[in-house]
Amino acid sequence: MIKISLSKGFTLPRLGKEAFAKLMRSGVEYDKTNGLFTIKDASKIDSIVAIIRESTNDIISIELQCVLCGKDAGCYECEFSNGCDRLSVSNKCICKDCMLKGYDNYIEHIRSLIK
Amino acid sequence: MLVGKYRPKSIVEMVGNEDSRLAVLRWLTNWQQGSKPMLIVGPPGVGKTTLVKALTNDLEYEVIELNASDERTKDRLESIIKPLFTNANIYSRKVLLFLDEVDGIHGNYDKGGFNALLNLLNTATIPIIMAANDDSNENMKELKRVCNVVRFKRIPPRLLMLYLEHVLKQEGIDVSIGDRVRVVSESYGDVRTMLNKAQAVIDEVYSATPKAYTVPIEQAMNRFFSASSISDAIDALRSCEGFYSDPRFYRDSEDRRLDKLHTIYTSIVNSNKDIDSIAKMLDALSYADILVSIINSKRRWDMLRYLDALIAGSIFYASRGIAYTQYDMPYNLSSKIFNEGKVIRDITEVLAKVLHESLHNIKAYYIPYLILILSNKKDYMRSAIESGILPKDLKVLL
Repeated sequence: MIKISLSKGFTLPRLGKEAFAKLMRSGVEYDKTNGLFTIKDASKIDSIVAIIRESTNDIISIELQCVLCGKDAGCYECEFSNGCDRLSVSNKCICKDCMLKGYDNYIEHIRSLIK
Repeated sequence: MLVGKYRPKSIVEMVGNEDSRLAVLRWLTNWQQGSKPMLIVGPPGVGKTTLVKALTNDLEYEVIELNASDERTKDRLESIIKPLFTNANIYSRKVLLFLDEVDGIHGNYDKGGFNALLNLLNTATIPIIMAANDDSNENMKELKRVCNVVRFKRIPPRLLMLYLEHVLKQEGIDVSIGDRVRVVSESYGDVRTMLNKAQAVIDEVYSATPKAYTVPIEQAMNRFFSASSISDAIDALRSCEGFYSDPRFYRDSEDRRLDKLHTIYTSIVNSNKDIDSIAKMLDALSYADILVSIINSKRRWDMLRYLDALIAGSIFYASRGIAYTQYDMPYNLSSKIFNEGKVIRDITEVLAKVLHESLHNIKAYYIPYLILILSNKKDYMRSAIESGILPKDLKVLL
C-alpha cells in the first residue's frame, strides 16, 4: 500500500519516465535530495492518485491534512476511517487535538485566512 | 428545524472545502467586467448554494437566483437575464446572478436554452455564479471551457462532527456519542442530511435503531400499505430514507423523496382498486408531489416534516390492501408500448438522417403527417418514392 500525505512529503517506488513527467505536470513536486514527493495543488488529487495507481498497480491510501495546524489529520487512527472515502471528501480535515479546541477555534482560523 | 436555523450566514461559518471557499471569495472580490463566470461543481449538500448566499451576504451583493432546471428554454433565459445585464447599474446594491443546477439544462429539448446561456455568459456585465451537481455530460464540458471551475467535495466526517457538536451545544441538547457517530457516519459528507438526521434524533423520531431507516424501499412500501394506523404508516414512509436495493434509486435525498412518491404511484395504478379510488389517491398524491417540488426548488427543508404525514393522512384509508409494485403499468401493456415505441424510434432516426432534421422535429411534425399519409394515401406515397420525388429510405414506412 502506498501512503500519500497531503501535508508532508511522501516516497514512491520507481514510476518510470512518463508517469513521473505526468505527475510533475499535475502539481506534484519532487525533492531530489531527500527523494520526497510533495503535492502542491491538492485540488488535483484525483488525477495524481490515478497516475500513481496506474503506474504502480498498488493500493493508494491518502492522509488528509489538518486545516488548522497543517499536520497530518490522523486518518489511520480516525474513528470514521472505515466509512470515509478520502478521495471524495475535501482534502482538509481536522486532527484530534485541534478538534478538541472546538468550532469557534475553527471559524477563527478561517477568518484569519480570509483576511 | 436545524437545517434552516443553522444555515451559515457568512462563509466563515461553513465547514469543509476551505480552499474552494477561498477561491470563490477571491474570484468575487477581484471580479471585473470581462472576468470569466464561476462554476461550482459538487454533490448535493456540500454547501454550494449556501456558499453563494453567505458570500453575497458578506460582500453585500443582491442575488438574483434562477433555478436553471426550471428556467431553461432560450426565450425564458433571455427574457430574464438580458434585462439584468442592461440594467445592472440601476440597482442600489451590487448584483450577482446565481444559476443553480445548470446541469439540469441538457437534452435535445433544452439545446436552445443551453446555447442561449453560453451566449449570455459572453456578454455578462455582472458576476455570474453557476452551481452543478454533475459535470460529466457534453454540455457541461462546453460550459467548463468558458468558466472558472471550483470543485466542492463531501465534508470529512470529523469536520461534520465538529459542526454537529457546535449545533448541539447551541441547542443545549445532549445526544449520546453513539447517536452522534451514527448521524455523522450515515450523512456521507452531506451537512444537510446530517442536520436532518440530528433533528430526527432530537425529535426522537428514531433512536438508536439503525434498522428503522435502512429498510429497502419495497419493504418500506409494503409496510406502509399494510400499516394498521396512520402513525405506523408515517413511520414506514420515514424509513424509506435509506439504501434502496433497487438500483434505479439514488442515495441523494432529493431523488429519494421523488422515488418515494413514484413507488406509491406505481403501486396505486397497478392495484385492483376501483377507478374512483385510484383517481382520488392520485389526486391526493399530486399534492404531495407539489410539496416535494416546492421543498426542492425553494430549498424549504423545514417543510419536509409535513411530507410523510401528508401522504399517509391523505391516502391511508383508500390504500389498504395495495402491494408494492415496481412498474408503471401491467407488463403486457408496457411491453406493447415499448415495442411500438421502438418502431417509431427507428423510423424517426431514418427520417432525421434523410431529411436533415432533429429527432424532436421529426417526432413532433413529420410522424403525424406520415401516419396520415400512410393510412389514406399509401399508393401515392409508393409511386412518389418509385418516381424519385421522395427518398428511397422512406420505404420503411410502407
